[in-house]
Amino acid sequence: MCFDWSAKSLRCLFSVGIVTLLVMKAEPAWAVQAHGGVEGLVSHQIGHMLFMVGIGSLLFHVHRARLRTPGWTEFRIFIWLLLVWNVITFTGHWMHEFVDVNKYVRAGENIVSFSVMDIADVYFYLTRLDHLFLVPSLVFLLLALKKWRMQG
Amino acid sequence: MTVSWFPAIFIDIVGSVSVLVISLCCALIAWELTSRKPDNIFRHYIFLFTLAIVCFAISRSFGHLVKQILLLNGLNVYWKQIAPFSGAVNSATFVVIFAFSIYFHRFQKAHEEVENYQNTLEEKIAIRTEQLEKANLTLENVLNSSIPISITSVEFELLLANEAYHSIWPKAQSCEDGEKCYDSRPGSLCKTDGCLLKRVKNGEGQVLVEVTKTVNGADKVFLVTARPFLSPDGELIGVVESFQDISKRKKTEVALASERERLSVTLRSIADGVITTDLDGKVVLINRVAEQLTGWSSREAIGKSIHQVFNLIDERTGETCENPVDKVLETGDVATLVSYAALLSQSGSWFNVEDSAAPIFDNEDKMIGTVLVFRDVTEARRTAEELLKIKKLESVGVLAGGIAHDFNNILSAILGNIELAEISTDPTSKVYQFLQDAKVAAVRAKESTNQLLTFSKGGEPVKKAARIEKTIMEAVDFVLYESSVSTTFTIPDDLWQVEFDPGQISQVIQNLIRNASHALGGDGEISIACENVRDVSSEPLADLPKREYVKISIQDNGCGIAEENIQKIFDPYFTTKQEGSGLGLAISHSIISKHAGQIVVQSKENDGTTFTLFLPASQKQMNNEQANEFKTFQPHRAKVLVMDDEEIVQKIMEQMLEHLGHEVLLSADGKEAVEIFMQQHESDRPVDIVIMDLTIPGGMGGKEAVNEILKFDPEAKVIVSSGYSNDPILANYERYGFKAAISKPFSLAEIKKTLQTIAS
Repeated sequence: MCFDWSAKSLRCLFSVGIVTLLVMKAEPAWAVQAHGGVEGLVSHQIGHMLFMVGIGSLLFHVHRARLRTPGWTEFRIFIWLLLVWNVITFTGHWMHEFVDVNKYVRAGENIVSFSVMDIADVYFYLTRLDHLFLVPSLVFLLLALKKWRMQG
Repeated sequence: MTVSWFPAIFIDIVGSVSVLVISLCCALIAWELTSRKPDNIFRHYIFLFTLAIVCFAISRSFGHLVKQILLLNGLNVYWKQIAPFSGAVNSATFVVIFAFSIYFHRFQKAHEEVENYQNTLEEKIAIRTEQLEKANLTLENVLNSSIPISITSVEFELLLANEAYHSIWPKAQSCEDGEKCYDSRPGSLCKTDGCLLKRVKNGEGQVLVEVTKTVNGADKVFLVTARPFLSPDGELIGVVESFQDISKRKKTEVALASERERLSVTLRSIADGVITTDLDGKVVLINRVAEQLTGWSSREAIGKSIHQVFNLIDERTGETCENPVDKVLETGDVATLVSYAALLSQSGSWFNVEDSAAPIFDNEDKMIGTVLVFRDVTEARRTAEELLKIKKLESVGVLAGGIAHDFNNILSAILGNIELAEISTDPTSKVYQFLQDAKVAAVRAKESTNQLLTFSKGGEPVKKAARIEKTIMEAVDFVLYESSVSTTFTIPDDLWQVEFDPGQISQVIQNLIRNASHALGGDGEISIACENVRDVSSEPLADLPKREYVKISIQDNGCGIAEENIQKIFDPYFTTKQEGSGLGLAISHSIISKHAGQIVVQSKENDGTTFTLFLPASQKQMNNEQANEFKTFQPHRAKVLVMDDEEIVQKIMEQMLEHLGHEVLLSADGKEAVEIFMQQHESDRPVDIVIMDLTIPGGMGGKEAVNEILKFDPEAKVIVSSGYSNDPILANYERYGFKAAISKPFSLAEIKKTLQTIAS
C-alpha cells in the first residue's frame, strides 16, 4: 500500500516519480507500436467509460446495501454528481472532435468567444463548465468523510 | 450567437483550484478516518478510494491550471506537448477509480462480515466480561463473607486477602510492600519446620493445623487450612490459607474438659457404685466403687453388657435376678432392686446391694441411656439383723429380768427358811444334810438368776472384793459341762483378791472359754492361768495405769485368728462363726473396761489363741483381818424396819432378823415404811435400820422412800435390797443415800454381815 508513509511508501512514491519522468521524456522510437492521433481520445474516453461503470457499480451497491448511517447520503450525491460530471465530460470530449474550429473566436492564439449556432453548441459550451459538477461532487465527498470521521 | 469564452476559462481555473483544495481536505480527512480505526478494513477502502479520487482530481485540476496558464501566456505549443501526458494520467486515474469502485461490494461485504464477526466477538466478550465480572463479584462476595482467607506467595508475601482477614490483621499489606507473612501475622509455627507454606512447598497437598497467632497483642488459636495455590500451568505460586478462630471453642473445650474431669472426679469419689449404660445396655461409664464391687475395671467393663458387669442373683436361691437396667430401658421409669438381690462380682464373691436405676434424658427429653446407683449393704443389713437380734434379746432380757426378780424373791424365802431350818436342826442328823444340799441348790439357783440378770441388762458391775479363781472355775465348768475339751488350771495360792462383779466376770470367762472350745473344734485343751502382777509396765501386752493387777490367761491350741481379723474381734457384731452374734467379745471387752482392766489377744492362724485379762487387785484384801473381826461383832438388839411388797420375803426376813435377835417392823411399800419410820422416831425406841426393797410395783420404791426418810432423819441407816442384783443402784448405793446394799436372795450370813457393816 502506498498510503502508509513508511519507508516502503516513500520507495513506492520514488518509483512512480521515476516512471513519470521517463514517460514524459519518451521519444516516439521507444514505443514498439505507435499510439498517436485519435487513440489518445479513445483511450481517455474508455477511461471515462470505465470510470462511469465503476462509480455506477459503486452507486448500485451503495443503494442495494441500504446504507442509512450519516454520510452515505452525501456519498451517494457525490457519486451521482461525479456520474453526471463523467457524462458531461465524456460527451464534451467527444463533441470537441466534431466542433468546427471556426466557431472559436480567437484573439491571437487565445479563444475569447464561441459562436453558438445550435443546441449542440450550447451543450458543448456547457460541457466546458464541468467544474460546476465536479466541485460540488467533491464537496459532498468531503461532507461524507467528515460525517464518517465524526462517527469515530 | 457568440458567447464569451471567459466563463469557461474562469470556472475552469476557479474550479480546478477548488478541486485541489477540496481534494487535499478529503485526503486529510480520509487519512484521519482510517487512522482512528486502523483495524477497520472498510475505512481503509474509503481511504484508498478517496485517494484515487483525489489523484484524479489533482491530476486533472493541475493539468487544467497548467493548460490555462500556458494558453493565457501564449504558450500553446508547450501545452500541446504536455496535454497527452496530462490526459493519460487522467485516464489512468479513471482506471484506478474503476478498479476501486468495482471492489466496493467485496470490501463492503468483507467489512460487514468482519464487523459482524467483530460485533459477535465483542458481544461475546461483553457477555463473557459480564459473566466474569459477576463471577468475580460473586467470588469477592463469597470471599468476603467467609472466614479470613489469604493467598500467600512462595516468597512469604501476601498476594490477596479478604475483608475478614484484614479485619483481624489490618496492618497486613499486599506483596507490593514486600512485608512477609511472618511479620504481618506472626504465629507459633512461623519460621519453623511446621510452617504451612513450607509444608505445602514440600509437597503436602493440604495441611490442617491448630496455630496460635498474635492478634492485637493477644494470642488466639486458629484452625488453619492450607492448600497449594497453582498457576494455570500447574506451577506452585503460593498457598491459600483459611483461618478459623477457634479460641472460644478451645476455651469451651478446656472448660468442658475441666467440667468433665470435675464430674468424673465427683463420680469416682461418690461412695456409691455408679454405672451408666447406653440404650443397648452397654456400659459407658463405671466409677471406682462400682469397679471394686463388681470386680470389673473400667477398661474391662466399658462396652460390655450390663448383665455381664452387674450380675444380680437371688441371695436365697443363687439364681439370676432381673436387672433394673432392663426395666428402665423397657419402661423409661425409675426402677429399684428386689430386696433379696445380691451382686455377684467377677471374683465370685457377692454383696447385698441396694440400688436404683433411672433413665438419662438429653436436652430434648429423649432417653439416651440409664444410670445405675448401688451400694454394698451387706454390713448394714447384717447390722440391722443384729439390731433386730438385740431388740429380741432386750425383750428376752426384760422377761428374764422379771423372772429373775421374782425368782430371787422366792429364793430368798427358800434360802432363808433352809437356813432357819438348819439352825433348828441337829447338824449330825440326816435332815441337816438334806437342808445343806437344798441350800447348795438354792445358792446355785441364785447364781443362775444373777447370770440371767447380767445377760438381761449388762449394766454397771456390782463389784465386791474376792478371790476370782472360784468364779473362773465355775464359769469354765458351766461352759465345758459334758464337753470333751480338757482344762488345766495354774492358780497360785496367794492370788490377790479382785474387786469384781462375779456375774459379769463369769460371763466374760464363759465367752472366752466358749470361743476357745469352738476354736478347738470341741476336742483339745484349754489352759487357764492366774498370776499376780506387781509391775504392770513389765507386761508387754498391757497398757494400763501403774498399779497391781491380777492377770488371767486363757490359752487354746486351736485354729487361731486370721491376722486381718484380730483388729476386728472386739467390734460389735463381728463374728467368723455362722451362728455367732458377734457380741460376746464386745461385751467382754466392755465388762473388763468397766472393771478398769484390759483384755488383750495374741493369736496366729492355725497356732492357737491366748486371751489375757488384767483386773485391778483389790485394796480391801489388806483389811481382811479387820473384816474377819466383823464376824464376831454382834450389833445390839436393833429395831429393823423391813419394806417389801412380797409377803413371803417379808416373812422370811422377819424370821431371819428375829433369829439374829432384832426387833422387826414390816411394811408393804415405801410410803408406809416412811410413815412407820416417822412414827417410831417419835417413840422411845426409834427404828435403827431400814431394809427397803428397791422396786415396789404400783407403790413408792426404795429409791424414793430413802429420800423421804433421809429428809426426816439424815442419819438414818437404810439398806437397799433387790431381786435385780445387777441394778446400778445396788452397785452405787451410796450415791442414792443407802448405807449398804444386799441382793436377793440373801443368806442369813449375808444379812448378818450387812447389819454388822451398818453397825460398825
